[in-house]
Amino acid sequence: MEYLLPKEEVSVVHDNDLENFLNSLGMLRKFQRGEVKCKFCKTRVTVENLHSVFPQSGAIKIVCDNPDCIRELSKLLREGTISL
Amino acid sequence: MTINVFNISLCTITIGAFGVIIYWLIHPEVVEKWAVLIYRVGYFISKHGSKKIVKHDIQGRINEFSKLLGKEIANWEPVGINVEWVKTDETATDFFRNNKLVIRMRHHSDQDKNFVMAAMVFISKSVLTKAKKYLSNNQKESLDLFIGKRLCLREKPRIAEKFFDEVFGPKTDSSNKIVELLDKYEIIDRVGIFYLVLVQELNFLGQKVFSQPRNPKIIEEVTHFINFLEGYANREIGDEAVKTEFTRKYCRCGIVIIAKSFKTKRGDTAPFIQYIKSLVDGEFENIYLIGSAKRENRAFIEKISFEVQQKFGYLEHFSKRYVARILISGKRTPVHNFLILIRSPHTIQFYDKELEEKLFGE
Repeated sequence: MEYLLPKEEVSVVHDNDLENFLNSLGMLRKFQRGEVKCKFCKTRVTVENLHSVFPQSGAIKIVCDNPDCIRELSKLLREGTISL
Repeated sequence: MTINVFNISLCTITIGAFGVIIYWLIHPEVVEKWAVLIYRVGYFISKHGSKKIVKHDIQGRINEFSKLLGKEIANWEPVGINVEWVKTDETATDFFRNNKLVIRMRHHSDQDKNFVMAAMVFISKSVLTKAKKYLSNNQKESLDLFIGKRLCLREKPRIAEKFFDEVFGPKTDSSNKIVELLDKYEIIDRVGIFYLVLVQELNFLGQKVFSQPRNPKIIEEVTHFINFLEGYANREIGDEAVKTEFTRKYCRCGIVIIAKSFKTKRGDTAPFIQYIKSLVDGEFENIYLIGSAKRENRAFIEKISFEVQQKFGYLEHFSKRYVARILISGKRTPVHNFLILIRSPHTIQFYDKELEEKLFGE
């Protein structure tokens, strides 16, 4: 039955909490100064086009909402390089 | 008398409430959908609760879809989604320790986008997880896109529009190979066997193959399997020239069409059993018996399934009534079909040499 189903946990951050979250990761200033680049396409990521954040090799990686970058992110998820 | 009426009413209300609670326990996604409505009213009044709307809306819709998928794909264990808000005071150390992707969710006024993003991440990670390890990137992506499309088309037109604008359109614009595969799935889906046969077989494949990721032999075999199902889906009714068996190393399945009216009317199972025997002798693992869902034909399919189980020791794995748009005189015509999957109890598992050496030292 559905209530017994295993659940895949998806971690999310709401727009209301985004500033605090980025601040606690020490990324807010960089964001505000426009110094954050997308891991895949290297374009500037702002609050407008931010899709997700994940840790990799000791660094915080940021992904923009460009469909090609989401596609690359999905690849990493399928391969298990990053986890939900 | 008054006490009796009171007791009966109390009893009815209690039973009713108990029934509602049981229903909600079995269908929590329905509770979540109702909760979203209540939170929306609450937000309208107090301007609080946007996060609750986002969370329960996504969970309710995706869990409902996952449950439906579980009914279509017999060998798939449905997985639900649990949207978890990160702690806003999470430090970089916590973030690295948790080692998880964090997706940004917009205000609920942009909930369609939130839903599409969460749905695609969920499908990428949770559907056909094992089989995807062995598929090509185009095969994996096209499957995710097609399943995502099916999910979003069930929802409000606004969500489907968002999906096509932000996910489907850009991906299909950039890859002809993905478009080709999506077109094939569309044809396979028209005859109702995208989930019932294609996804099911891929799931079986993921369960029995233990190989290095993206094995070229498996990729090639899956390509042939998709083409085989496309050929079957494009088959004109009565056309016996189209191949209905697929025999390769990893995928071995046959489709037996049970629709010869003269044979079904006579109730003579012998020609079908004889044909199925040749599939059993050929070590076909999965045999799909497909035919009209009309009462007489369905009973005949069930009779054949029973005989196959008795004679060859195969097991009935799954049965389903579904709508197929089959080709009759060049026109796709909707018909009600019935399918039974009978499966060999002796399935073979495959380890590639390199992995075998690693695991067993041979």
